[in-house]
Amino acid sequence: MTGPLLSLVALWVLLAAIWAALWPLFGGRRAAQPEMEVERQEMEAEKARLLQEIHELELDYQTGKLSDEDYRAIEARLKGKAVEAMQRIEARSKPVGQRRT
Amino acid sequence: MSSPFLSQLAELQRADRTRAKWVIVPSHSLGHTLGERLALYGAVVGHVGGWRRDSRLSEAAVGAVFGTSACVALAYVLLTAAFVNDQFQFSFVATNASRAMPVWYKAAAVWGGMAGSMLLWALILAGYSTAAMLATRRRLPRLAPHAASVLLTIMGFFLVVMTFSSKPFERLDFLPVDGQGLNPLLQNQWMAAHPPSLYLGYVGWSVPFAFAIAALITGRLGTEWITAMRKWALFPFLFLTIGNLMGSHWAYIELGWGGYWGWDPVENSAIMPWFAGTAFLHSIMIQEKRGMLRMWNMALIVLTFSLTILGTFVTRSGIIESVHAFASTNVGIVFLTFLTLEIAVSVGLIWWRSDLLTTENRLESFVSRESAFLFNNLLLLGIAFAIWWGTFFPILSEAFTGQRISVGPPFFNQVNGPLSLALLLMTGIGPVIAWRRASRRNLERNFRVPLAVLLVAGVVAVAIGLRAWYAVAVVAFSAFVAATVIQEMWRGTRARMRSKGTGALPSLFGLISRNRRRYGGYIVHIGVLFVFAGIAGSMFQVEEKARLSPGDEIAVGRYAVEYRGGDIEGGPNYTATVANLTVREGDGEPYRVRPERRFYPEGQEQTTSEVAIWSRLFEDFYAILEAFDPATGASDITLIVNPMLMWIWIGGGVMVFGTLIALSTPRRTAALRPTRDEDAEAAEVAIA
Repeated sequence: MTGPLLSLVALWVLLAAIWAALWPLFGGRRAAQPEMEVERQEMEAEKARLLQEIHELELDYQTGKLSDEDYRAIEARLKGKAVEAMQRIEARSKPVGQRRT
Repeated sequence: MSSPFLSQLAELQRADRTRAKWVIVPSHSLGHTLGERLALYGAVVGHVGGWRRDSRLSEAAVGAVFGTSACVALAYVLLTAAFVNDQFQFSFVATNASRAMPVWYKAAAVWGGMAGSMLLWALILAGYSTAAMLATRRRLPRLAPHAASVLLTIMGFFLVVMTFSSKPFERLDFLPVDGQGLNPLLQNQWMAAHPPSLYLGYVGWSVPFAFAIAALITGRLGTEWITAMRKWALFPFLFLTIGNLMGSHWAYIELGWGGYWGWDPVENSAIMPWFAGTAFLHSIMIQEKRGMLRMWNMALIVLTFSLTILGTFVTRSGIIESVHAFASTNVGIVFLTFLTLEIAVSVGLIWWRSDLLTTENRLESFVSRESAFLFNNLLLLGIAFAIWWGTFFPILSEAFTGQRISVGPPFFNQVNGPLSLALLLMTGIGPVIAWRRASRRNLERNFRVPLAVLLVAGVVAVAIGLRAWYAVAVVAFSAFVAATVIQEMWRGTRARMRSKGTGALPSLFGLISRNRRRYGGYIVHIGVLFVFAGIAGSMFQVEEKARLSPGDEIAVGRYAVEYRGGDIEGGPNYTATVANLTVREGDGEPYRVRPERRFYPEGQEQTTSEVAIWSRLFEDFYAILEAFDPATGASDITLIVNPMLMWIWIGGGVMVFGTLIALSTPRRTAALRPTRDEDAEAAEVAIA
């Protein structure tokens, strides 16, 4: 029984491999994300990165690796960027008619 | 005609044919062939889809990664089944396995030769590629199709190599009664596990390389690909560390010369990408924080990936004489062609995008974190280059002078010794020096205590009798690095105690848990110190060689050794001569050690040395049986005392632990998955 079973499994694997590679061409999978969704993800990722950077900046400052002057300058820049990113995300999440142009 | 041998042969052939019915599916190589076609198809549609932003083509490329991976996995399973079931009609199985081998070694023998190791490469790449596509196709939709193409091109290359140069499923015209067996040197649990780990390290660099190329093609050269690839660069670093440790341990217990690193070309090939990859892991931090070193990071990842291909080429081509030359084949030119094309395309893309790779910020001071990291990078690359030069010098000298001149361990030790010491010092300086420009106040605040520790440790080292400058420097610099790490942890803990109002221990755990990448890295640095301690200890190795008759005694360092005669013993597929030794340290209890020499009669008729090691925290006692004379009972024995050697393995373990901590950093994609980082949430609330 093992022989035919293995052959069958092998056959299924090969067919599945062909299906995985070709099916998207015929619209089998849901089409890749729309452009807006891609942009939203990118903005979310940017926001997460900026927040993490602010957290690490704080730790660097507390452990003596930044002067007061540098800390304040970099913090202001990062927070400005983070606010900007959050505003962009918020604007994107509003219905089209309510967006500021 | 009815001799027992012929009956046995007929019986074995009947049994083989029965197994063959299910092991040989319609065509063994179908998975391999289809995988090759799908890889080439996916490599084309991925670039076209990515370039035209065609979602169907892009999805098809990702689907091709899954499909190719399934085909490669199928081919690997079938080859393993052929080994386990003694299918000697396959040439590759017949030359690398035998009936007497334990099943575990039969499964491991798949990667004991060229064809199987190429298939293992492809299998591991298939695993990485599938995981990378699952993780990134939604997060990095612009880069994923191009990255899929690059990964499929690499996978396709290895599958094509198997088609034209190294066929795992090539069949013989006859059915051998038995196979030649695996090289006895490889019949060791460390060696069985070493190649997969090393390959996990080598192959893993393909993922950051593929995304770097995708970033170059798309022009998205900011921090996006760097941030996404942090973990994907830590995986190969982890496995290269484990693989090199396993290889060293194997050399130590199996090759029987008393050391763990012989600067063998294959060892060197495995360590070069580790150094280049470590440089990359450090320098991407500068790009993340300061937007600098974009082109440098691109060059580093291309170099690291190229070194992994070079390493595979050296291991498998046998181009440089080596104890590992058992896999010598004629695929060298194929590898060199691929390597040349890969470098040419990568350099071309970097040149094409050179405008976008221009740095946003400039180096403001030589006394800064950025400059310390750059110097650390230069040291790491300097060591990698010295190793490359020493490794390839025989080929270069032959090419230019007609004479093959090899450089030995003294060259590597003399060049890399000072560079490694400087690197050790930078391991302490880099994490505590200030960003942008270190002020006098910063230098005083961060270096006063570590420098005092350095001086005290140096003085203590000299006071306890250390005279070798290298050993004194290792002790002093290690103490300096340890002091910086402890100081960092203490300051971070104290800051957290103040901000969260928790005790010291919860604050420390909270600190590490919330900043795993940073503190995981510091733990890796502690591991590096231990490894340095182990390496420095080898300078104080003591060695004695003697011909001993039963009852003879010999002193080695503080040890008294008595030889109690030899034995001849049998194993599953070998015969062994064994020397019985009793070792006593001072007035301590005697300890028995039994070094062996094993003779494997089948196949290659090879003899191996099985050393005996009495291993303790601060010293190893190491015994090698060189020869045994059954007529007189006398043995030629080499005895070695290796101080601090255990610390190499402990340090390696600490490095692995630290890397795992860094790897366990949760992914932060706030909208897609709720973040668990309280500090990041607090920052968001504060900004809002």
